[in-house]
Amino acid sequence: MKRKTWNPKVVSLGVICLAVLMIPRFITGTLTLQYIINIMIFAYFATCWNIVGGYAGQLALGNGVFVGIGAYVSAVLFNYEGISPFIGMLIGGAICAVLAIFIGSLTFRLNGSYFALATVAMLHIIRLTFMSNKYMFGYKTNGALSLNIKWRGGFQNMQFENNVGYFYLIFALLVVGILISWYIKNSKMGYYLQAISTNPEAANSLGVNVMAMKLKANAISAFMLGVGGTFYSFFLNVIDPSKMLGYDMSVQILLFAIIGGSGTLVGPILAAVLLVPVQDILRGIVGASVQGLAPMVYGLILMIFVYYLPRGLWPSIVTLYENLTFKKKQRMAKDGR
Amino acid sequence: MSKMLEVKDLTKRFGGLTAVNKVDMNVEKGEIVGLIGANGAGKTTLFNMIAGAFPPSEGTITFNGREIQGKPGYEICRMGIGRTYQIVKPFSNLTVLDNTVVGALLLDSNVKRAREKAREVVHTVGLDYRMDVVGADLNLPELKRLELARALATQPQLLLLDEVMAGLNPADSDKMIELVREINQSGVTIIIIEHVMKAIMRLSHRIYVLNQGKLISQGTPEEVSNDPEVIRSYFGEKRYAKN
Repeated sequence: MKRKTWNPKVVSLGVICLAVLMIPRFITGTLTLQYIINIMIFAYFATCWNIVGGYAGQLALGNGVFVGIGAYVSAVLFNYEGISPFIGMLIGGAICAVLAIFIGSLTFRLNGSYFALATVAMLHIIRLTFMSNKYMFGYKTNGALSLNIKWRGGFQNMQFENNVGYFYLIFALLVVGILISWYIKNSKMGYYLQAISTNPEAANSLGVNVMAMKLKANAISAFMLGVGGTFYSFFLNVIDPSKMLGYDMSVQILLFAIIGGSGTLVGPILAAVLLVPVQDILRGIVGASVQGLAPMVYGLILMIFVYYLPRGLWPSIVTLYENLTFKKKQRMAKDGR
Repeated sequence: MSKMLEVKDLTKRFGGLTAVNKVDMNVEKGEIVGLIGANGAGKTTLFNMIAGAFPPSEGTITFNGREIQGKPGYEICRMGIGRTYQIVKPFSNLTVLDNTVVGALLLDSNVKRAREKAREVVHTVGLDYRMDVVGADLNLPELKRLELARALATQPQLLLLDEVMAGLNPADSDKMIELVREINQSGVTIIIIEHVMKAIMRLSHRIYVLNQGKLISQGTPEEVSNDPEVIRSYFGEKRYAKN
């Protein structure tokens, strides 16, 4: 009888998942748990952005705006219509996807830096529209002021007494995000997106509808970011438009993806795991003593990453591993083993 | 033999320059048709219009009885026209196999089956030994073969080959000639642009000659190589007079 063998990748992923699930049992400090939730939510955002920014190679600088839109839609539906955020997130995600298709059909006609700039313009237009209107579509969104999410409590309202509930919820979101990203990367769409990212002309001549494929990637990415926005805003219990719709949010998301290794599945997650705590710790320790020093040090760390690992963290690790195993094999061959 | 491709009065103007000027061309099923002419004669422009890279200014292109001029490249590929590029365009971050899979996915969305198909095609073009090497690490003869593999993986009825021999040494060039002939014998109709005359003369059933965008001659390799107009366009008036 043939013995069933387990794929080592699946086993190690299972072990990591189990280990993460055990975290709240051992870490009870609210602040530490909050840091970990932050890591997971940004790892999720970077994974979403990676679909259009990494796989398809489109430097969508302003796509973080979809986080804010998703957050606003579900918060407004929850506050004023009493609709559960689990339904609100789907509506918010769908609005983001439609918007992404509309905006993409205009901006994807542009190439390189022009495309990147157009997405930034989109972000500012949407941000300013939200910040300068107290009401959007008849609902009070408070303009430039924060919008508080009403407290109703309970799982169906995505509201928990402590961070443990959010921990599990956002962990589940991250796992789903990773699975979608993995599925796309290994599907027909993944091959097509990678082809488009290096040579759209050649992809076109192989039967790839380049525009439709980019729009599809943008829509999926925006939908996922919108859904993530809902989770994030319900975790924070408040929406600050300058943060949720801000340029910083967008840049932060894409930095994780790029520094980790855009176009790879693991890279964005790895970068978020490493850099979100660095950011939080810097803000807590250095930021408290000298104002403005924390972002400066953070910027310096980013520059070191970009300078020494221009291909991204994960591809560099993979290359290093391959070189080491290759050398080991060579040594073994030499020894006649 | 039945008519596969019919090009009629095809014209392309770029501003004041007429790159292709009222060209007529027919390709029968199963043929290898050569397309020759000096640099700038409009050969690649003609290819680009057939493959849908850009629309013609005037004229029609009929493929299997359907007018295809002005349709986008991906649609034309789906109809059964594959192409290679004179200046190679590999997906440099993908392996040889994955490059070919992109082509194979056209007819089969199942990645596993497409990989199998791609493996076969890579074997056909003789790139097995570089299967897992990324496009960026290939040399020119290999890149030319990769171009061919990708286009073949889409299982075209008509294959447009744009200078697949350029830059190859005589031995590689001979191998490529054999490969093109094999592909044709497997049932693929071919139009080939080439400057390597040995290849064109050995492979083509018929040849079209372009000069400054105009069609100046057509016929079998013998007929074309004896056509005074062709000799004049290639070697100039003086050399023609000496002959």
